[in-house]
Amino acid sequence: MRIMISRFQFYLLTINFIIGTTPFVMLQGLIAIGKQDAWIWPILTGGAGVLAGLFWLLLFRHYPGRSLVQIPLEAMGRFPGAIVSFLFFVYFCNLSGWILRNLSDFLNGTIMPATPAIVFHITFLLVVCYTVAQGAECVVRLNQIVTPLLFFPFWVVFLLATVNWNWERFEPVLYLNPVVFFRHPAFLGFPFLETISLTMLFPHVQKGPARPFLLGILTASVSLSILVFVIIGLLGAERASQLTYPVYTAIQEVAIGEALVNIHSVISVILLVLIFIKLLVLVYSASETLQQVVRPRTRWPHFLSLMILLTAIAHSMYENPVQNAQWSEEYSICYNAFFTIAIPALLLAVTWIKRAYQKRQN
Amino acid sequence: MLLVHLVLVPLIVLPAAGLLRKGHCRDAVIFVSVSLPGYGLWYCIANERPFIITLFLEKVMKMFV
Amino acid sequence: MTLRHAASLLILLAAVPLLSSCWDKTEMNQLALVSMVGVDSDTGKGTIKTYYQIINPLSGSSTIKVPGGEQAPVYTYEMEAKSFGEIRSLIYRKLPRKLFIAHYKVLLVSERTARQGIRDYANFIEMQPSGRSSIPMLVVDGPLEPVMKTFTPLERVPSDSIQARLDQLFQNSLFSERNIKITDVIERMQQSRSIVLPVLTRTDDARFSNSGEVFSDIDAEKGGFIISGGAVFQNYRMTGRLNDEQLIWYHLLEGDRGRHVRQFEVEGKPVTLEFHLNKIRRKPSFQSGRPVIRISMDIELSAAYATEYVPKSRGEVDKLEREVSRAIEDECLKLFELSREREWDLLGIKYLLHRKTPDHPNIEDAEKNAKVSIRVNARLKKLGSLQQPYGGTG
Repeated sequence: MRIMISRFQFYLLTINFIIGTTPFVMLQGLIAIGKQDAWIWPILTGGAGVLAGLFWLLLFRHYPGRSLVQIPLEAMGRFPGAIVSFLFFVYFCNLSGWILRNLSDFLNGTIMPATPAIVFHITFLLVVCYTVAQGAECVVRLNQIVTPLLFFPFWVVFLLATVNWNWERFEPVLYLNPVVFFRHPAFLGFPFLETISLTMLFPHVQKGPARPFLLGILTASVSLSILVFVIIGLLGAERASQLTYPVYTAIQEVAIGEALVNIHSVISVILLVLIFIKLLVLVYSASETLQQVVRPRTRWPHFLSLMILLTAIAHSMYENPVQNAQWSEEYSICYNAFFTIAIPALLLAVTWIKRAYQKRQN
Repeated sequence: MLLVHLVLVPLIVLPAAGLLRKGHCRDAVIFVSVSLPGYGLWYCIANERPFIITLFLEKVMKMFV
Repeated sequence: MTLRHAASLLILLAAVPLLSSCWDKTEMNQLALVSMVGVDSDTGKGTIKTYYQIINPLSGSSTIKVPGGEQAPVYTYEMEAKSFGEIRSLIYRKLPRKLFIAHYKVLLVSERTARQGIRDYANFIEMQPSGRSSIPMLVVDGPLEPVMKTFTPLERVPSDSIQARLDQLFQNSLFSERNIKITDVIERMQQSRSIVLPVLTRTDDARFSNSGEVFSDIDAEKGGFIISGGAVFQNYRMTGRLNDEQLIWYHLLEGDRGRHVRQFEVEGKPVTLEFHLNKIRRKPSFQSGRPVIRISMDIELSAAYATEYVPKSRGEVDKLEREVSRAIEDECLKLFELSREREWDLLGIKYLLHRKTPDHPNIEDAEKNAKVSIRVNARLKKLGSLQQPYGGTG
């Protein structure tokens, strides 16, 4: 039975995947560098993300109906292709572990300080593995159902917070030289280069994935830009650049009348669901890599092994957030670019060489 | 320490044995090869000396650049 | 099939205890709900003293009355330590319940702590994930302990009394403004601006720490405290005081819309008028390298409280408007002179220059040389129920 994903479903999945962990991880550093003009940067990086998307689509045009990890097998043969696919598997597992760790850091740092991190990892992974085991359609359909439940409460809460809005926080407007952003390429890599994970779903999208994919990247970058804009308007660049979780603090200051003053715990659930969706796509990619490259005959034991591996990676990812921030600043662009630009470029080059060779033969 | 071994060893050995018994050799090999790095990482974590992945990646990147 | 069912059932059962957040569970009656926090420092010993005013859940009309008198609505605990963080561990030597500060309404700071600097406390609140910084901060004139151990008539919980008073002041006068929250303090200090916070002063030295006495005494003055005057803060330190009169003009120049009633002098005669700000515009420009800030204010007057004199003709109305405009301009300029003399920059000139002319090479010096011209356009719009006040017949 062929899996069928509609274009609208894929579009929504792209948006939610990109927004995923960004409100937790990227905002504070971005506002520290961009100050009151930081809201422009997500749009610019979204443009770069669209370019990367076009680059991947160029690769996929040569292999219609194939997913990301099947391309190396066809382009380079079984054994070298398997090594390249193994590299992608490592990439997906690392990303999943990272996300799990970001999640447990956030929950431990804000609402539930006493709970051990492993509890968050295992409970999340249990639900994620169960969903992924049902198949890609389940993942995508779940996302489609959940999106309105995320979208409306999130923005309604921010609308309620606008009593604290102050336009003066944006002045002087557009004062910053955009060159400053290019000195911090870490923001180019995260979150847009990670969307290569969505290419695992390309073969299942009806009538071609190009348009929903690129539109999703654009919409997500506009959403992120609006989010940064709102945070600057509510908190001001001076405070937001020094808070660990500006979104959480902005929501903490929302008060409905005099009585409801602590709604941030409820809103945090929305942010958690976004993380869940990102994790769904990544675990799907990892397990599909196993299924498509090695073709095992059973399903659930491999989820168990993935769970053991991912919880271990989550604990081993970094020692403390300070180390993570420094590493992300210095090395993440290199790391991301290797897997999302260098390897696809290699595959594209091999494909072109093969085609040219075959043409000469004929 | 003991808890890591107590939990992970049955979780790895029992399904692997089950798969072998059913004749799915390839599956058993995949299962063990994905779980073993996880087991190794957990062993380091339980020893309070976790193998930090980002530092390892930093070393790898510095080797090439 | 059955093995798979058994395995999935086992996994679900194993996950259930993990879902009940056992580690972070807290029952409602294990919480100490803090309604007001007071911060004082002892420079001699180098310690900080924190007062937590905790709501008594047994007080209130619907709970069982304990024989032997009234239940106190709040209890005040005090704790001394070298830093704020240490108090979290030390407080449980006195407090039998878990400190829950997410609902506190007011922060009081003693004047000596304010003069030393409140940066540590601002950092401490913002660092707490459950801290609340969107609440007003007030400075207490004199020792902090009597204020933390005083009950207030009418509003049983003192923090409610203070908060309600600030809200009423904001609407019915220019003695208070909305931007006195800790978040505003932090934002302005980070922007190198100044901020003026309200000051609590005790009305007399009587101590009223017995709630039964306070609630059954007709004299609401005794042992209470009054919100009066403002404390100027720069760089997280208190650097001066403003009296009530100066506070009115400071808030007017800030752009507050409270309706204030004040007695003006028109042609030598006293007239009580209510005025409030409709619009304020601040325009910076440069004249031979020196910044000139033009502030123009549109003010609406109401003669609803003018028992002394109500203008009878258009000419009289014009005269009234002109004289009141001039009086307000003079008072505002006086405040500017005071602000320049004490280097407080109460009008926010540096911030204005930084926003509108960020490329200026030296905004600090420019601010010191700035010239301010204020233009007030006051318009009488409303009258009271009497067209003319009753006069004497003889």
